[in-house]
Amino acid sequence: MSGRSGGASSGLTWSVLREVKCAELEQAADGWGRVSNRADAARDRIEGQLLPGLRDTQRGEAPDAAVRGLRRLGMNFQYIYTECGLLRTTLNSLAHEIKTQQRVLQGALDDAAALRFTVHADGSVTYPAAGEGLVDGKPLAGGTASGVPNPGMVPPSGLVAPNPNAGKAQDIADRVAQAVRAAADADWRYTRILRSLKAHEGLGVPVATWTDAAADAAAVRDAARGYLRDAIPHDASPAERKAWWAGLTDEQREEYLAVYPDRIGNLDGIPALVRDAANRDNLQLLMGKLEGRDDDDSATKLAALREIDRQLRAGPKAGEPPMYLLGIGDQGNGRAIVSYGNPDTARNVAAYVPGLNTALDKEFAEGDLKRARDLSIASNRHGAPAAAITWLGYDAPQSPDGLRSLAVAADGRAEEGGRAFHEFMGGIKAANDHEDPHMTAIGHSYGSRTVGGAAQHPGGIPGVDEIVFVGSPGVGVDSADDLGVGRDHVFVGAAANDVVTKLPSKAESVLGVAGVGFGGPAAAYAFGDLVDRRNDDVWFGRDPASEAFGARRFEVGDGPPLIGRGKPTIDAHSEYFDPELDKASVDNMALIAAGRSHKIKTEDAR
Amino acid sequence: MTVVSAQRRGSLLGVVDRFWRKSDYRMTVINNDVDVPAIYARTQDGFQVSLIVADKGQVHFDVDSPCVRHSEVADSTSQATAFLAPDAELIPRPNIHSDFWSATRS
Repeated sequence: MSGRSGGASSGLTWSVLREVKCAELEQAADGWGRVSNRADAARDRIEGQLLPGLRDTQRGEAPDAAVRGLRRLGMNFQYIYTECGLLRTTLNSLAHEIKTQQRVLQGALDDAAALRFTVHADGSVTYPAAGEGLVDGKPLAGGTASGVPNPGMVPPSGLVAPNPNAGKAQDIADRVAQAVRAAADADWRYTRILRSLKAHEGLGVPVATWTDAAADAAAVRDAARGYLRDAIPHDASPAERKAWWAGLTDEQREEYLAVYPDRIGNLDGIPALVRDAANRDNLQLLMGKLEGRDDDDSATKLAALREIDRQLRAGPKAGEPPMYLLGIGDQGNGRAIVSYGNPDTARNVAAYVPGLNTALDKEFAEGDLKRARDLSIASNRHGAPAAAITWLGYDAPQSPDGLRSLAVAADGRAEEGGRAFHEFMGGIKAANDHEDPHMTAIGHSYGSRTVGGAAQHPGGIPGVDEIVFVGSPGVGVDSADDLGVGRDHVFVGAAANDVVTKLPSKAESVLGVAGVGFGGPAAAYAFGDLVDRRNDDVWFGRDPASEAFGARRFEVGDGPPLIGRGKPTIDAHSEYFDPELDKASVDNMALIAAGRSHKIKTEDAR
Repeated sequence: MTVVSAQRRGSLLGVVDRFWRKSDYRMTVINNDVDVPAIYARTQDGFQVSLIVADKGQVHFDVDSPCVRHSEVADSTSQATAFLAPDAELIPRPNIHSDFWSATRS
């Protein structure tokens, strides 16, 4: 087909369009697909077998050099996989569009044949005499109609010939012209895309190549919208999505993975292994995209993505849970969902929602992910195979001064995040192999308000049996009975020295807020406390550690005092997950996640 | 991983508890549960040590160093006493018999 500009003047005729062999395009697509698959398998072999084997058994300069060489080879295969996968879908998508126009054309030609009209090489249609003249009653003369590619552009004339064939011929000619024009347009668009799917010279896969690959993926996606994307069931339930994925052929799955790794990777309900594979690919594309930018926000996210990439490549040590990337994205403050342990095969699954000021940055990639990892290790000691997840699937509020400055926005963010978390847990439940997996939702700090929001949806959080709040400034409800799991399955960890769990309520803060400007949260707390001693209310409702709330309080360390090491510190707010600082807290959460909550070490309510 | 029988569990906990107290460790948390007892303690120089009994009576000792600058920690050079497959995702449950610790008669 021609590569010249589109439109009726492209030189493409209807007879050429009719003869285009789309099956050949599809065969070519299959060929690229096979190359892509082989590259993918080769990469898996390098990263899954060769590299770990070398690392575990060899030390020294030669093995180190071999590791570097293999890494580069792995990157090369990754790139081949991505680009060949894009080529495959581009060709399939082109065939899809051409076939659509061939059907339009064939319909018009069939109609013409049935009416005994003649379709000429230039697309005009000749029709015979028919009807009767108004004056003499004789049949009206035949004629020729020329097609108009955009019929809406030509105003209908009031003086059309009354020959009944004229209108039909015009319609046929228009359809032929439209099919030819649409096909020429597709030809032009796909030619451009195929020309851009080119690699740089040489064996290195430099940053620019990945930036380029990210742009390639965007272009192919845009073109293949009609062919692939509309079928992704974004609005379906997690169970329906699982069924949708199970019903696809291998070829279809490969195409979705190659072209829409971002959408498949974040689609709640499909298997964790699929999401992981898609997100690992998308991670490379995202890093490529962000490497092409030089603003602070991109640099912050890029540092986090690189750290996640480093951890994924390092792989687990013996006896440690493997890592699954269940979600990744650069929208808003960034998204990352990481599971330690396979959440589909695990009997016990816990998901942790981080809180205030959490965003996709290096601190998150190191600290927040480690929390799930440590919890997974501890849970696995206490029961059946467990997976623990860090879920950053929403924009947590950002406020350097703490909760006070975001009184208005905060509830909204929690509700939004609650909806997303609700859906995510629905996906975990649907994808899990067990009939009734044991599931735990853990909210830290503001994340506990998000979990509280998720629990307010009808039926509570899907599949969740236990809810844990640590360092909570309130969860949006006043009783452990209102969270959908029963008060015996709601647990609270509140360190004696954690000021966040004692933030005075909004009503009290009207008086207490005067302290913020002078002494930060510490002074504000002191003010609030003076204003109203012995009150159960905290920032987002009743203190979940209070007796009136009715949750079970488990033992955690006291944490360092607010003003004890010379300067004010709120470290007591962030030690709950850290086995190096508060092992008892981690073990208690692990027992709950392992379904052995009757064994936890409890502490009296406040 | 050594099988510590329910009958010997108390002895093990007692030995450890006595030694840690004698060494001036400060006991931070003690879980007295019959099945999953645990002792958490802190040494004078800030190390956290713990002994927990977990699933199937598996005993875990953990030692965590106090706050230091983050750095890579080299793997232990001593040979492990039990085989662990390099791709194992979990530490196996107790599977090694000890005439003393696994005895079911006191």
